[in-house]
Amino acid sequence: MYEAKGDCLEHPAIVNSDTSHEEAIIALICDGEKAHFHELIRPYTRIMFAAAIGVLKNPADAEEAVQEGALKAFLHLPQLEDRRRFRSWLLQIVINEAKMYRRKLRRQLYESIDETDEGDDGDSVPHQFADWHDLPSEALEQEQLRSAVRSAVEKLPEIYREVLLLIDSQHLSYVTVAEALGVSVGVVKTRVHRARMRVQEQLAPVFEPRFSDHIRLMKGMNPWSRAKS
Amino acid sequence: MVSCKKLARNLSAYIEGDVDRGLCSEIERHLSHCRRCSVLLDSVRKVLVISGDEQTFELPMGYEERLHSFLDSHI
Repeated sequence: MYEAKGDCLEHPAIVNSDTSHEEAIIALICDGEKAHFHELIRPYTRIMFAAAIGVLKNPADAEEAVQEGALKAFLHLPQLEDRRRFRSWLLQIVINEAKMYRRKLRRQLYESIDETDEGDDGDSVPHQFADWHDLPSEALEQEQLRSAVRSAVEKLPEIYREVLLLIDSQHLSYVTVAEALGVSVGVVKTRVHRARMRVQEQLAPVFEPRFSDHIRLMKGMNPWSRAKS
Repeated sequence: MVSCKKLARNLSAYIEGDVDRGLCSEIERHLSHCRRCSVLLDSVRKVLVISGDEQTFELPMGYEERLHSFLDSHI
């Protein structure tokens, strides 16, 4: 089950990428041992892709942005002052690269003004609900459900999609994502909350209980209770 | 007691254990009698489970190999 995500807790795989070991690798690379760069970025390849796909949607474009971003990170590594922040610095470079790539392609993301309005606190209240109370838990394993979630995430405005992919999918901390995006932790928390609410709201039509489910639910119910209400 | 709207606004913080004790009890009291909000909580929790299983997006086949060979040829 999902665990509390404090400002410091992250995915075990990420926590295991020991910071002091990472700093030692960075020192080696800056001393000219370039080949160690592969080792340095290996724990982050999936996260880098998540950051890029959050901006670009198209996997081929995201891959190219990751490649260019990784190369930039290598070239500018000696300029990284606080080597403990390598992870968020790398993510920031990839996100910026993805945004530049998008501009280069002259892509337009047609997102309405209200979708980017941070000040409107009304949109965190969903208009409809995906009622999964009565669905068997095995349903979570179904490809249909995964595909519906992927599609719902894809439809999110960029500011919500990018935080959802980095925080809920890649289990990065709010602090790391806030640093990478150049916004406050509070803004990231608000965005990820709205992203979750939108995803669950988008899934509502997909998982409306079928008529047969209603029949099943009515079994064992007192038939008179409906007449009285 | 909290309203449905206030509960919805604080749902992520509640799931993550990031609300103070007072608000937490108010939310739990609300959830105990409001089916609509307990459905919402259940749904958001399930979205978290699904989006957290690393399959929210798929890595292209050969992505990592191409990344490393790209770097090999440029650094």
